[in-house]
Amino acid sequence: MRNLLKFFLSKENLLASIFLIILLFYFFSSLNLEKTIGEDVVGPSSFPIIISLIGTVLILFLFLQNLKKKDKLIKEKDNNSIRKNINKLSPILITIIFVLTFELIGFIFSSLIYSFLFIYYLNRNLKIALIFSIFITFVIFILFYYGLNFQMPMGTLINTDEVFPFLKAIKKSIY
Amino acid sequence: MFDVIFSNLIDGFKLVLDVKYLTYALFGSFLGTVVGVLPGIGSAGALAMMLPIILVLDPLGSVFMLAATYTGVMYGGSTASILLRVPGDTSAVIACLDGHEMAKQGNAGAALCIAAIGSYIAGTIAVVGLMILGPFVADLALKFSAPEYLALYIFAITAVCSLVGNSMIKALLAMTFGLMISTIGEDIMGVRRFTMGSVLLWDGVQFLSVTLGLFAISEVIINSESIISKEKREVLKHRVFIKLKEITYSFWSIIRGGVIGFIIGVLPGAGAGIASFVSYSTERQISKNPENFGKGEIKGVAGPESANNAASAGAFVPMLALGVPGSATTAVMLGAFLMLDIQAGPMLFIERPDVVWGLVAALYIGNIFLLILNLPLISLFVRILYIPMYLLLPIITIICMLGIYSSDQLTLSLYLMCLFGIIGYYMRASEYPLAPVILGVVLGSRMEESFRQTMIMNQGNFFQILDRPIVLIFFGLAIVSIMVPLYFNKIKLDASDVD
Repeated sequence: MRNLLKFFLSKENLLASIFLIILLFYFFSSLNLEKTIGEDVVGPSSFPIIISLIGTVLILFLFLQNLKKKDKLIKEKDNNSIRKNINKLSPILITIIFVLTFELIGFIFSSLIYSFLFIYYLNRNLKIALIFSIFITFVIFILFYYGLNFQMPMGTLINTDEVFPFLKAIKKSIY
Repeated sequence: MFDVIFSNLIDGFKLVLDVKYLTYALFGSFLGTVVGVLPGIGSAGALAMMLPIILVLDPLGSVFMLAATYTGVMYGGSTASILLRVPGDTSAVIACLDGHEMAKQGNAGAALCIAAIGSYIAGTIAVVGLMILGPFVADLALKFSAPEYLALYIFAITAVCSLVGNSMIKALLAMTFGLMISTIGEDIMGVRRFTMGSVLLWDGVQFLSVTLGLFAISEVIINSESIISKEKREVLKHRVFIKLKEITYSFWSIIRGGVIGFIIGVLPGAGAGIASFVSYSTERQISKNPENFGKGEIKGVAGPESANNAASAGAFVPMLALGVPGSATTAVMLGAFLMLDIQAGPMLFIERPDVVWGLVAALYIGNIFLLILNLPLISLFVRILYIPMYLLLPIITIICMLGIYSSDQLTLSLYLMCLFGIIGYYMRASEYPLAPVILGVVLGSRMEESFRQTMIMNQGNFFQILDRPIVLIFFGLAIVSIMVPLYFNKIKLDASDVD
């Protein structure tokens, strides 16, 4: 049993094991859908059921293939500690902060915070992070807001239009 | 017949060889290239952005500017893919594979040059095809109904999955994952599936969230990881221009890409994305060194890039000849025609030959401008790669986010981009290819629609489609595309056993 668990959680099989769980969930959700509607002889559930069956067969093939090299896989030293994985995903965590603040405080402030945090995380130089976060935000804002007439979030908590009223006035004069 | 075509084309050129129209074409090509580099806008979006501008122009000038913008966007999309691994459109996804690998090896200039040259040659092939074969091919496209499309999609999937990555099973699994994503949201009958009760998922998962997450964000994570772990990065001196040897080496890939792209482009709904995928798998299948694909093989850039440009010109055939828009872009173009009081369809060739042949001439001139404009700009584009990574990575992420946000104004799509970024990172770490996921997402809904229509047509008997010759051809090609790589792998394994 322990060996079986080790096999499913090995580096080679981990993603396929997670995918198998998702596939099973997907398959059982498909069963709840209607089989046919009107003249439609296959209905909304048929295609997802076919996909999940194909996927399950493929995963079983993959497991069988990997079973042949099982010994090798079990001897493999697992280097994936939780701390290491969190470190790897730090850029995503910073990006999620950006997404969280994107509509709340508007593009300008969220982009400033995001680019500052990201550059500082990668470079560890406060001065560079400060200068370039302002520069990047400014250039991208000009390009998208004025150049391409994009709708940027201006913020609900802090409204950029109220803080910098001239931004909207400039856009009005262009378009 | 050729006399008539030739004299019509000369008339078309006479009309458009005017400083005013040439300026429109130059402006359109430039704007298209710039917009094409940015993710999220795409060719349909770029043309839609041009609509307020073209309203103040005369009909021919409008057609001219739209055509030049379209060719510009198709080329611009590959620039971001090659340099930054940021595909803004389905057709640009395949350029990430070998194009970005070439850039990593210091050959970004060569990759961009072959993309520009390939786009020009294939664009020319497609324009010639549009002139000569247009009406005939449009007639053939009408013979395609649901079973033929289903067979075409199955062929496209097997061809790509059998050749991308090291394991066919992993590629097929990645494609299955893409198909699963495509079923989220409302189906063709309006039934909501896998939305987890969220209204925001009724329209499904946005294509850009998946593409930019899998490709761009996973690349950002990988690069950040190497910066943090203080991995020594080799500072590459990027070659700006291409060698003549590389052009001659890729010449036939460009021609094949042009022909494949044109044929697929003519089929309504098939599109430039599928054309580039099919061209890539064809190149890899017939290559003497298929193992080089995915590692910076120039033919892996030349073929697909040519195919996507040819497909964009091919898409004009059903639009002009039948009044049927084959893609979102030609739908916008058709809308623009209506605004200009031009009725597309079989009578267009008789009633408004100036528009038809003006458009053909515009596509050709647009291709020339694209080459003139982009070859000198390559040295400028390549400089992007000299920007330090710690500055480039946040810029890429912000541009990706704005691209996604601009298309649906939903923060959910941004969260999904982050989620797909994580999935893409672990897929790459476990050696799962990413391109089949995109193919699954793109083809999923169309495949399901064709499947359901086929079943209705055959009263539930799927195997009745085997009575159709075009279906049989595609199924035959699908079997060949699976068997050939398996056969060559077996030969290689046997040879290594003997060694």
